[in-house]
Amino acid sequence: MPVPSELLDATDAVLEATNQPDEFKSRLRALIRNAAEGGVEDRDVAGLVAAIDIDSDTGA
Amino acid sequence: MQLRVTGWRCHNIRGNLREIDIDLSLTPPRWTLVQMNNGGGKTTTMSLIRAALTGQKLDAETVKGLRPEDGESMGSFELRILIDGRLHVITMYFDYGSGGHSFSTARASEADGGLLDTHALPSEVRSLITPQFAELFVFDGELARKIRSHSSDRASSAIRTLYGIDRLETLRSTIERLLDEQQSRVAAVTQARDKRHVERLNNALQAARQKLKGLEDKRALIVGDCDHAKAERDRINKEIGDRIGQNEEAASELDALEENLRKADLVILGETNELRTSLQSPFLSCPRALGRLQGLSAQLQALQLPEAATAEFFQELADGEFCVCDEKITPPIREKILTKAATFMAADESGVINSMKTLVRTTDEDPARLQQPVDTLVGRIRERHRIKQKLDAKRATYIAAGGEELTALKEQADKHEREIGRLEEQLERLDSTDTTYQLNHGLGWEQNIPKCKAHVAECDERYNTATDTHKLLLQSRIAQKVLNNIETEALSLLREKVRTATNVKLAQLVPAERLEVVRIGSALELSSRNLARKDNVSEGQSLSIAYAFLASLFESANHRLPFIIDSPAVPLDAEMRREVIKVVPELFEQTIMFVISTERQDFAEAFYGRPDARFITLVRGPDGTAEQRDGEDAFKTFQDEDDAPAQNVGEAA
Repeated sequence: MPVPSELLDATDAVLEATNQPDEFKSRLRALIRNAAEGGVEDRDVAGLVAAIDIDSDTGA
Repeated sequence: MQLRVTGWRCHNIRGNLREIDIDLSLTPPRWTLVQMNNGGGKTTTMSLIRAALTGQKLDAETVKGLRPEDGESMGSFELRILIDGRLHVITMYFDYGSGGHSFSTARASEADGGLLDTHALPSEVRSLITPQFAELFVFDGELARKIRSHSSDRASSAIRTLYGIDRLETLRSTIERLLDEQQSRVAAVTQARDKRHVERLNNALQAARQKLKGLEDKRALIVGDCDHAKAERDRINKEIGDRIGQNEEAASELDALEENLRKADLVILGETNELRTSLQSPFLSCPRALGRLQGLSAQLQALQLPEAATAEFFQELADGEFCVCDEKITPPIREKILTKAATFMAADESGVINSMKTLVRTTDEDPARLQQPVDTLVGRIRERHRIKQKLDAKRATYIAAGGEELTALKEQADKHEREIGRLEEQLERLDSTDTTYQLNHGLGWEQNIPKCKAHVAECDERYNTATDTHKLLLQSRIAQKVLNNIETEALSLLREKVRTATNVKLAQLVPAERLEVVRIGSALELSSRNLARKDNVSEGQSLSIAYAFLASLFESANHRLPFIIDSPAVPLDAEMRREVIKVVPELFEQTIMFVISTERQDFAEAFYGRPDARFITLVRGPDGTAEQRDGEDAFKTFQDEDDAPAQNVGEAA
C-alpha cells in the first residue's frame, strides 16, 4: 500500500534534525517505504542500525 | 485494498436467521437497506460478519447462544466478499452441542477453487482487519462512546492502523530482536567464568522485564475495571436523573443548580489561570522573597559587585610574584594583565547579575497586589462549594422522595464511585513519577512502572556492557528514538488532518451546538459554542461525532472498505436524521444498513427512488424463519408487530 504523505513528511522533518550520516538517512527512507508494503528484511534493518554514528547526535 | 460484501447466508441460527440468503451480486449496490423487526437478528448478523472477516474465535457460550429455539445441533454462517475484485467465501460452522466452531475459506481465483479448512484471507487483510479495527466499519454503536474515552485509545489507534503507522512498530521490534540475537551469540562464546556473571545479569534483566510486563498488564486490567465502573456509574446516574426529571419542578431546579455549578467552574478556572501566571513573578509570589532580593541588590550595589570583584582579582594577580600557572610575573607581564583584564572579565555573567540588580531595584511590584485576587478566588471556591452542597442536598431530597428503588440506585452509584476511587488510587501507585509520593508510599521498582522502566534500562545497560554489545545497544537505541520521533510527528500530522475534516462534517451535522473536535489525543476531545471542553453529549450527538470522525478517517486512507451499520438513525431526532442523511450516504462506496420500521421516516425514505439503492425486508415467519421480500414497495409497507402504529420518532429513540 502507498506510504501516506504525512509519514514521508514526518520522516524528512525528523531526519533533517539529525546529524546522522547520509547513508543512515537514505536507508531509513527506503525501509519506511518497504515497511508500508510489508517487505522488510532483517539484513536491511541490521544495515540501518550499523549505519548509525553513535557520536553524531542523540538521534533526533 | 478494496473490500466489498456481495452477500451472506445464515443456516440454523437463532432469531429470524433460520434460512436467510442475501445475495447482493458481484456488483453490489452502493446502498443496501435491510429492514427487520426488532430482535430479528441484526446484532447477531453484525457480530457474525465481524467474526467472519477477522477469523476471531468465538467462545463456547457465544456459539451455544446462536442455537435456534427448536434445538438444531449444527448451524453455519457464510460471508461472501470481494477483495480487490477476487471473490472469497468464508464459512463458519457451528456445533451447538460442544460450543465449538470452525472456518473454511474458498478463494475463487485459485485454480482448484482454493478451498481451505481454515480462515485464510490474504495476509494484508488479516493484518489490517483485527477485531478492534473491524468495529470501525462493521460499526459497533458502543464505539461512539469508546472513541471519546481517554482510556480506550481508540481514536489514535484507528489512525495508526488505517494509515499503516503501526508498521513502524514492526521495524522497532525487528531492531530489538536483532539486538537480542547478537547478545545471545556473544554470551554463548563468553568464557565459563564470565559466563556465570553474564547469566546472572541476563536473569536479572529478564526478571525486570517480566515484572514490567506484569505491572503493565495489571495496569490495563485496572483501567478496564475503572472504565467499566465509570460507565456503570454514569448509566445509573443518568437513570436517576431521568427519573427525577419526570418531576418537572425538580428537573428545572436541579438544571438551574447544575448550570450555576458549571458557570462557577468556568470562572474559577479562568481566575486560577490568571493567578498562576502572576505567581510566576518572584516579586509577587512572596513578600519575604522580594525583601531579600532587594537587600541583596543593595549590598551588591554598595560593594560594586560583580565589577569590583573581577577588577580586584586581576589587581591582586598583577601585584603577586607568581601567576596562577606558577610562572614568574615580570613587569611587562604585569602591565599586560592589567591592560587585558577587561577582556577576560566574564561579561555575560556580569551582565546577568547587573540586569537582576537593576530589575530588583526598579521594580514597583507589590506582593500585596495578589491578595485581592486570592481573596476573590477563595470566595468563588466557597461559593462553588455552597452551590455543590445545595445541589447534593436537593438531589438527595428528590432521591429520598423517589422511594426505595431510587435510593437503591443511588447506593449502587455510590458503590461504583468508591470503587473508582480505589482503582484510581491503585493507578496512581503504578504510574506516579513523583519521587515524594513514591517515597511516602514505599514504592520500589517492583510496584511502580516508571521506576521499573528505569530498573530495566539499568539491567539492560549492565548486561550489554558484559556481553560487549554496548555499541550495538547504543545504535539500536538511537534508531528506536528516531523511529519514535517519526511516529509521533506522523501521527500528529494525520490527527490534525482527520480533526479538520471531522469538524467540517460536524458543522453540517450539528450546526446549532457548533460542536468541534479540539484535539485528537488518546480520545476525541470536544468543545462547543459555550464550553471550552465538552464531555457530555447526547446519544444522537455522540453518533454524529462517530460518523463524522469515521468518514474523515476513511476518506483519505488507502483502503476502501464497506460501512455496515445497525440501526443508524434510532438514536437521532428528526432534525438530526435529516442532517445525517445529507452526509452519511456519500461517505462510503458501499453502505449496508440494518434498519427497523421506525427509521423509515426522515432517514430510509431519503433513499427511495435512488437507482443504486436496494431494499430488502425480512418478514418474521412461523418457526423462526423469515420471508425475504425485495423492493421498495415491500420495504415501505412493512409494519413490525412490535412497533405501535402511533409511535413517533422521538419515542423510538
